Amino acid sequence: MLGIFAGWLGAVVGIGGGVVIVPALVLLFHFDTKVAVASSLVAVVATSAAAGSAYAGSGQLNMRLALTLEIATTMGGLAGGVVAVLIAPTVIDGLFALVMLVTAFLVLRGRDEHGEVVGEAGAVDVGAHGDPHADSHAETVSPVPTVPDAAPAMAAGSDDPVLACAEAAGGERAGAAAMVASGKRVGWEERGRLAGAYHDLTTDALVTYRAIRLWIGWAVSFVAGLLSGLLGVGGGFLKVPAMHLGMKVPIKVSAATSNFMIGVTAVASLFVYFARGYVLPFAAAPVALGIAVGAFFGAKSSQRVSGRTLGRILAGVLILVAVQMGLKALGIANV
Amino acid sequence: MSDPVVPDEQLGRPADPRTNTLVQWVLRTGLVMALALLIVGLIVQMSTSNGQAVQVRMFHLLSTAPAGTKIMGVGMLVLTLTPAVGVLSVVGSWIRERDTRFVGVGAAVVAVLAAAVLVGLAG
Repeated sequence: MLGIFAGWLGAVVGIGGGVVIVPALVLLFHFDTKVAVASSLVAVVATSAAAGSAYAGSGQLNMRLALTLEIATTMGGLAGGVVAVLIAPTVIDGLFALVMLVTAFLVLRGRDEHGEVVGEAGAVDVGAHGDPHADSHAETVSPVPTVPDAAPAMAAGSDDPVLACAEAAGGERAGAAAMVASGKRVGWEERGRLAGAYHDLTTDALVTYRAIRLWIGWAVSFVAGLLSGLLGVGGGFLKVPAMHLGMKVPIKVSAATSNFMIGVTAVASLFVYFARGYVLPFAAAPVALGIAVGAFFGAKSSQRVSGRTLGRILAGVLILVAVQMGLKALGIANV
Repeated sequence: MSDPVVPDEQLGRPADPRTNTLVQWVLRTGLVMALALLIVGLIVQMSTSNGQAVQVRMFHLLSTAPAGTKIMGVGMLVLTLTPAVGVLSVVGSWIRERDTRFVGVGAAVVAVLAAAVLVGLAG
């Protein structure tokens, strides 16, 4: 049951569930911390694989964005392993708690101010469910077009916004198709590769987006990898806000992309634990089985949960873990 | 971030849906195989070892552990390799698309992962 709950939460929010697994295994089942961390990493990989396989078919997983950020995350993970022997764990724990509290605040503030739907002037009209006064610059929403054969027209250079949406439905690159007509200079993020589109089932609208400020994603991903190497967590709790708030990627895409990323990141750490004998199959197997089931249903249900709800769940998880880590840093709790 | 102007047809080119389908298949297959091994191993372990927990090392799976633990250990190894195989399949897909920039990105990720494994084994 612990695994199922952690898996659902992880898939919906975009974290690996390790923040639930590790303290539960140590406090409730009295496992050694390193064994608990190794079991958590197994669970993180299972969550990532289960949710990632579900997300891959939904259009929410942006593979190019994932691997672009994964470079920084895995490098951070390597650095984290080295830094771990030089810095007192309490310093890291305190920093951890502070970062998560700030992030939770930003997520709640961002949701309240900008709402669920935003638009981009001059690209694609905001759809029937959109907020015309929103001020983000990277995400556009439009009703799902009813003309399925419109893609060829856009590929040929049409500037019709409805046709642009139809074309954008074809895949992750095409979110930048709406920029084509302007012929403006484009960079790494705007090349149609760190952009995309997905059909939001909660609003029945096609959401197109393009990632901006890639440097933020790289920087935070490096830090997430660093913390992953230090603490044995996936780091999705940092990457999801970074992608959503910093890079203006829709939260559902951020969660889906993060879910795939955390599995890749966890693999590097898990190999080390595996090689050193910290993997306890009898402890990890039940958790992995439960979390895979929970993650699968979490990924399915996330398509029917509003982005606002996702943001609140994310903020709640961040605050809970921040309190947990803060108590540990102060020596009050030995988790 | 000052790349030259990209032709319209390059921006408008739809993504290859085979990439996501391939990744979906790799992740799902790896996960199902791993979970099946974990379930079987768990049943064997509980029926033969009274639920005693045993630690395993990656390269000693087939020599020292009880049967149930061996099976679960192999399942975890399959699970561990699944995301890595997923990355390799994505890189392969991009090679087929001749997307050189992101083939480089994927290769960099694979290289860093390989380095992490080597550092772990060496430590």
